[in-house]
Amino acid sequence: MAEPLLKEKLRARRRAMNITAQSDINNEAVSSVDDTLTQNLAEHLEEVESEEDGNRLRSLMESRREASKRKLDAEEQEESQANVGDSEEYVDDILSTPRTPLPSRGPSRGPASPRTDTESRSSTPFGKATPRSTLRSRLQAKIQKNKMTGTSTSEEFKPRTRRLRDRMQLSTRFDETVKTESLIKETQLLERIESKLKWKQAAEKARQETGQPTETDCFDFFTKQYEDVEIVEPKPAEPVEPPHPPEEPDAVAEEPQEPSPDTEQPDTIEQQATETPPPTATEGGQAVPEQQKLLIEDLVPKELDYRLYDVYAAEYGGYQNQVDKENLNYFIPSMLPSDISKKVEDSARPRYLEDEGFYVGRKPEIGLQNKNILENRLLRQPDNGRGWFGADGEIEILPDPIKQVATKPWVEAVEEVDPSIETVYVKAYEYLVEGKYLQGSEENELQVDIGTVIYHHHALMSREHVMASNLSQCYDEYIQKRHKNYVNFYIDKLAALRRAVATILSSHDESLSTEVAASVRETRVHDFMSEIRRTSRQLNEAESSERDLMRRIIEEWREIKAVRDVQGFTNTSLKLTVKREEVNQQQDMQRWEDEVENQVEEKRDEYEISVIKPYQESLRKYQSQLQDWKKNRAKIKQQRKKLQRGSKENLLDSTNTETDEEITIAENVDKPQKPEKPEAFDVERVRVEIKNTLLEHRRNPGEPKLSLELAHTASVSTNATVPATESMRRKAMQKTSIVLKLLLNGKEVFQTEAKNLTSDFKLHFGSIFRIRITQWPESLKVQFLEAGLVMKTLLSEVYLTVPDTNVHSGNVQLTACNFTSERVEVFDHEAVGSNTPFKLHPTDTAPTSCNTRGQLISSVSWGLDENGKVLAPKGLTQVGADPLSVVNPMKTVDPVSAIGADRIQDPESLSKWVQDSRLDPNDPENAAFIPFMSGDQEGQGFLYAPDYFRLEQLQEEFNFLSDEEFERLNRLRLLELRDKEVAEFRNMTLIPSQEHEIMDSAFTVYERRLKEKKSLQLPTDQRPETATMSAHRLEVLRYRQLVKDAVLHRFYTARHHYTLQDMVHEQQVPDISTLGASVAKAFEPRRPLKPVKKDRKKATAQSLTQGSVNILVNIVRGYNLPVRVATHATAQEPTNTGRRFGGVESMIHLGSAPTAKTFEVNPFVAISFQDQVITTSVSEGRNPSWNEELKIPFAAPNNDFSSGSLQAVDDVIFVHLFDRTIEEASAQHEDDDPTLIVHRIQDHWLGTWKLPFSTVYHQGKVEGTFKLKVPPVLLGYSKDVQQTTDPSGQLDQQFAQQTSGTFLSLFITLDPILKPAEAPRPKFESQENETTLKMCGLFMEECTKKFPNRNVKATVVDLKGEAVLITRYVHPIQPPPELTEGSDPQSLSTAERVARYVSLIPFESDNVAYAGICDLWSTCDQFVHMLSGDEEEHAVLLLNFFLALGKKAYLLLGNAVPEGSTAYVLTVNEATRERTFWNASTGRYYDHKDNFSPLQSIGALVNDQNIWFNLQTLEKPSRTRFNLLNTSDWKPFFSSKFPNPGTLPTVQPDILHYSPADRAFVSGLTDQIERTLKERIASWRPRHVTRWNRSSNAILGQILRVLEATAARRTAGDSNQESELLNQLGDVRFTGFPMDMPYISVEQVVSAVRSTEVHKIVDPNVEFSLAVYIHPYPASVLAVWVYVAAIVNRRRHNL
Amino acid sequence: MAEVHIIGQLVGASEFPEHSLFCKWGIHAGGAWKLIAGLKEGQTQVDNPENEEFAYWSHPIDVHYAAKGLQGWPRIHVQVWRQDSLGRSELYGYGFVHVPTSPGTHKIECVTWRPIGTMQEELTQFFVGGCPQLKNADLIYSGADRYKLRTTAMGKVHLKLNLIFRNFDKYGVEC
Repeated sequence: MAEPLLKEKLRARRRAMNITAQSDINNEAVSSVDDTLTQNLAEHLEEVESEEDGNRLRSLMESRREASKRKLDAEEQEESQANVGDSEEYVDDILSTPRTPLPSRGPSRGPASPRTDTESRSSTPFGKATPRSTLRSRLQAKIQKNKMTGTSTSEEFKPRTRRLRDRMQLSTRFDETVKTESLIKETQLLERIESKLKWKQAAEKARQETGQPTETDCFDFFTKQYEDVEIVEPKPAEPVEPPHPPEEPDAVAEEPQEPSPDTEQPDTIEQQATETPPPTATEGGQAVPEQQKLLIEDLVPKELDYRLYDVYAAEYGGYQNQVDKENLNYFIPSMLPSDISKKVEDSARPRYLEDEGFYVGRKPEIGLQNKNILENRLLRQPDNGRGWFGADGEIEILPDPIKQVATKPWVEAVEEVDPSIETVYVKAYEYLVEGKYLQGSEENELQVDIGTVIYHHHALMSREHVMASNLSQCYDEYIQKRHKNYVNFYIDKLAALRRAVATILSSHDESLSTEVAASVRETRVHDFMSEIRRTSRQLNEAESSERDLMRRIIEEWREIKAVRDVQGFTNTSLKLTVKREEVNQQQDMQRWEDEVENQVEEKRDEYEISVIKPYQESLRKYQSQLQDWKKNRAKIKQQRKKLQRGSKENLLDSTNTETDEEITIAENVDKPQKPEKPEAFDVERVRVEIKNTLLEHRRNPGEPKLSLELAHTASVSTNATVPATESMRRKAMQKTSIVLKLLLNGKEVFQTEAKNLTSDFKLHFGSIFRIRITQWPESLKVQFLEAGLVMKTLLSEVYLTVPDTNVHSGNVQLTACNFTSERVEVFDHEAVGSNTPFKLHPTDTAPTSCNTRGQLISSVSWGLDENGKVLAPKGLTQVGADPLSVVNPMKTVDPVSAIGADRIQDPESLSKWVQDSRLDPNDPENAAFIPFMSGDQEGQGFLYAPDYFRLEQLQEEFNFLSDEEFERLNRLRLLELRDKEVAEFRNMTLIPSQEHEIMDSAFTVYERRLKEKKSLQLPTDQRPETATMSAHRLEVLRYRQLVKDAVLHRFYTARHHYTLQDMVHEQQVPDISTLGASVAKAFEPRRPLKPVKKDRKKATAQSLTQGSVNILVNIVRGYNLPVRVATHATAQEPTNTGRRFGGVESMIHLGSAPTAKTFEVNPFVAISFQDQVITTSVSEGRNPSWNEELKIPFAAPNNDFSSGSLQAVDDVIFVHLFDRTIEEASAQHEDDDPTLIVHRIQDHWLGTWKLPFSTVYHQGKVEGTFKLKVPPVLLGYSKDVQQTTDPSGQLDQQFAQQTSGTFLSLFITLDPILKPAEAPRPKFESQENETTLKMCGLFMEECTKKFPNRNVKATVVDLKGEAVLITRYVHPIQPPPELTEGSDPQSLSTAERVARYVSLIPFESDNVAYAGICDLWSTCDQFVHMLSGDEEEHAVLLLNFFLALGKKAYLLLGNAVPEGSTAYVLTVNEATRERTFWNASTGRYYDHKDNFSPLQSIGALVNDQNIWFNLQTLEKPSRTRFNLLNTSDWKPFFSSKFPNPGTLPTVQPDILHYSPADRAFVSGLTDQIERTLKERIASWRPRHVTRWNRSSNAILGQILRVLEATAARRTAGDSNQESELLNQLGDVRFTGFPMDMPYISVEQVVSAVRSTEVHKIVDPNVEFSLAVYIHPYPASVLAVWVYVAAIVNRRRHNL
Repeated sequence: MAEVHIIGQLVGASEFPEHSLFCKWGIHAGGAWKLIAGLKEGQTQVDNPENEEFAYWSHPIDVHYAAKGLQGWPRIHVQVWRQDSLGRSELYGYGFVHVPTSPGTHKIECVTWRPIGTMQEELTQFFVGGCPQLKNADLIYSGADRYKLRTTAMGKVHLKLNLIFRNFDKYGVEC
């Protein structure tokens, strides 16, 4: 309602309605009808009021009003515009058509009703004074008011009616037709109207008499009210309103007007009046317009077939008329300039600011006409366009700079856009997760220039070619040397140095001879002298090497000549010419002599400085000392005399006591030694020496200067003149052509044309290729293809480096890169072939062999576009790391790139240019160079940043707290570390909310680790403790840390890489099979006869808490345990004691009946894990049976049972076997009850078996019979087999004979089973070509399909995280020479030694080392360097050693207990058909027939050529056939379908460098370990005295040495040395054993000793003995031997 | 040390001319602010609503900041991208809002805009997609002059943030 437009429309509409109404009124006696209506309404109202107290009515009326309003609004919107005019016309139409309204009824009823009406009306308003029934009263009041005031409404109305009436008189030409058509009817109608009018007039008169309102007034009343209500509604009060309660009557009063249109037609009302109650809200709304329409139709009685419309012709007013009218209404602004005086405000003179010197910007261009039109139009504004014009009378076009509210006209950029808001149009691009693609890719261009290929060796070379290539290589070197001209350089340098020395020495006298100057001069001379010596040595070397080279070239040349002579033709065009430059003999000699003399002089000087001077110095010192000494002597003598006199005062005198002391001190000082006089300088000898060296190294005097020149001038013999074999070679050469293929990211991008081999084996391609790249260039590979007649064969490949972005085609240089091919080529003609042995010279005894090799001279660069811009990808960093920085070059914005000079190579030269060119700093065009200019003022280039850079001003001032305080906040630090997933904090939950609740100790572990890491990075000499670490080991640790960090980082990021399956869990829709299965379940037998083993449920990490996980160990039984021997009884019989200490085999072979009395054993098993020990009960006998289940609680690190942290658990489950002895102990006190027998329980360690927790975790269970690790010498025990007669004993014996060793059957599992982590399977990058990778995938798929449990690998992941074909790991490597020298490399003992060496390299599981993610294979050099690795590294190293020793060996992938999937080495002895499996990490080996070998299944065999997968149904090693050629047993990877390309170079190095053992370090370490152990053992026995038996230490040490010597050798003969040594100890009871282990750290040794529990012996008489021996092997591999023994000397204690 | 913990979500986007939108978002805070935990930037999935004018992402935001000063109050900046039927992405709008300075739940609407290129670029965009992008995306939230930049309004990004403030009162800041 509030909208004025709507109001306007409403008003118009209403006006139209008024008119229609009035016309009706004019035509008929509407007033009466009106009255009827009002009466009806009033009556109705009264009824309603009486009934319902008006409330309902009110609401009713209101709703009706609302509805009608709404309707009205809607209608208005439709027809608003035309309505005013239309309605007029409409009225016209109605009026002009002679209407015949109600011929019969009208007159009869019309007059009647008004009368009644008037009566009722006159009575009601005044009779009834109720406030509500005010309709009539208000009507009257209104009318009266109208009359009194003569308001505008009636005023307005009159002219209109008049006009209408006037128009009635008008006639159109169409009237005629109408008239003629219904003339008669019309006349009839007119008559009626006349009569009506009469009635009307009469009624009017009557009304005037009675004071009743006329119908016009009535209508006025309605319409006026209507308007008032609707339009003037917002006005505060209606003047007409009587002082009733404001709202209610208003509403009531207004309502009746609403339906007023209804009432306009008497007929309708008449018809409806009786039956129509006030229409409902909705009806009422619709009723208004409908009835309006009805109005017209109903106007016409049906009997008169009257048409409601007429047809008129189009009106035409004439053009001139139109123009005149338009002129009247339109304003067309002039295009001519307007009068300036009008535009300028009051002061009629315009000001021109520009003339007054103000800055006036350039105004944007606007057409003059347009401007004038605009101005003229503005001037027509009511305010004459004030404010639009400036002081100069021009219209304001530019924005006012000081205007408060900014308006933003778009100004087309005149100057350049600010780079910071520059936009760049980016095409819609596909978003790739890999970020492999470049953005804006089309502008990146790589240029690859393939220049020349030079073969240094080629299969088709003849012998002469080979030599020639050698020669030319030597010559190249020679030329290079010559070019650098070292000789002359050194000669000049020497001369200059000598001159310098001479000048210094000559200026000696003149210069001020102060002490300082002298010393300075001395040091300078000294420096020069040493420089001279060095230069002269360098000169010697340079000259002699040059001479050597020349000699070699000449020799080669001679050989070539000889070959040419022999074969009778020439193949190469090489020709060597030796140029000889004669020298002046005498002069040369003279110079040479001078040189000799010079050198002699220098030697002498040196002698002076280095020998004589120190001598003199020391002499001087000596003399002064001697003086002192003498003085002292004298003094002392004096003092003595005084003392002898013994005067009391003197004694009391304090000074004297002092001197006394002095005397004693002085007496102690020895007489100083006189320094020895050095040898005199022997000039002759030195001279001879110098002459010799000169003769040896330098050009001899008088010898002519030689220079060589190699030319390609010799003519090659024509084909006709050469023998058949040679011509065949040449033909083959002509047939051969080489094609180079370039592969970008593994995709071929182009191929060069084929070039035929030329006789000089140089191929010039000289082709430049441009590659437009869309992907990041990851690799650029050139393949050498040899095009034969039929097909192309791949010779070799070489990788080109992708250049930096600043390398473009303008500045790139050709570089050479070497390539080789290992392809074997043999020819039957003259060509020497490749990779095959041939004899270069017929006289050579040993054939040589060359691989095809050569150089590719090429260049790779980024292209340049026509503007010289480098077409390199922007920012060679990977995109995608930061989602917001996809297009964010601003990060790298610097002033240089801001000026658009993209990638300026040399900013320094640019700044120089800026300075030189004297750019005007005020010129805005030079703004970009300002930094360069200002740099000039400060005397430094712009490259140097200013001293400060304010990023956040006043930051510090407003900070809450300082950085230091910030750092100290532990809570935030804790939160941060947890967020970064730092290992120590990764799984912390519930960090306290208050600072003070966090202990400082929370960080100690972390900080210690940081410190350790930091100390590793320190250089060696600053390291705090180096006692237990050799330099090499530190290096190793650092290297390992680096590798570990890198690998961890890689896998950490891989772990955060989620696939769709990780994020979206979609439950599988049950299909018919699963439904069927669940249905079938209902019918399953409840207790099936053959139950199926169900998998135990795997517990998820969330449901686990501390203590809910246990390790279950079921110890079944043991076999073949050692048996106690009474030591003291056998000690006297040295002949038999040997058995006790010897190797196991010797025992069995000896088999002699034991004379010693053996005791049984009482063994029990102790499981220790995570500092908890649980034992079984004690059993009996050699083959005890326990059948006990032990439960050990498992504690996860940080209480976190997630797979990630469990994988990193490196705890080990130790299974120790002990023997429990109960001894009678002597009573502590003699006076105790003698009948009291005191027993002492002692546990003796028999052996250990270790199982890493990770194995149990990954495999779920470990089950089987395992061999214990038993010390080689177990004092007091014998592994001897008792000759028994009972059958079970015999069985045992057989068993023991077969296996030799102590075994334990057990079963270990977790309860509940923990879910092992799935190894992430990120797609590893690989250097392998795609077909190989594809084949690997296929091979693996086929293999796992057939035997899913067999261990097979085709590719493995190296430390770089790249997939590498496994065969590349196999490559012979020479073992350290110390291990092999002096023995037959084929012999078993050598192999054992090598295996022992490998097993001594510490073992560390990859899962633990790299937080349990995957199996990484390091190469042998990495392995030896890191000194840690797991099974496969050990196996590969051992295999490679074996291959180098000439054994036939394979890498065996299989499953073994306890380690699970593992790698062994298989050696095959062809002669004896013996196959041996070597466990490289323990050094043990097993025959393939051995049923007890830990190897359980064989998955695959690998050598350097192929991989064979075991297809046999039986996988036990003892039942496997080893004929690898049988493809039904063994499936090869490289088969006839996919042959080995032969171009798979190994990843292993050819030679391993073994650093020699560091003896000093080893001895230091030995001491340290010994000391630590002694301290620890004492500390473990806090309640007992720990005595050390020193005498036995040495003996034990010797035993250890012997043991180490024989450790590796199981085959070696038994030696009695140990027993002999032990005998020296005398009559002792002895418990102890030697242990050996690879050295990892001191702590490891300590814990190993502790686990034996020797220290638990509580015998008060016990003495301990400890010996440590470390055997150093090359490459810092150390074997640590520890012998711990508890000795009870029986004699001493009378036992 | 005052702390701000922002927990909430990028609810979605509305009133963009086309569907299939995704959003790259980031939180930028001044030098006095230190990220303690959480990711301060990310990217949502593409949502292509079939029957609604609202692309829902419901992308979680959970960031913990510590502040040693008030300067550089964190602000969230977004880039709305559209993925067309060919799987190509084009920029659809930049926008940023400050993180509210009172604790509690806040529903935030971030209005977005995108740069208009030249006539030719607009034509290209109409037919083959793509969009002029800021060379320097920092401009979204930095106070640099950008009055010469021609932009057009795009839709709104809706955020719902729950803010927890801690210890601001210790330093005399009332939130």
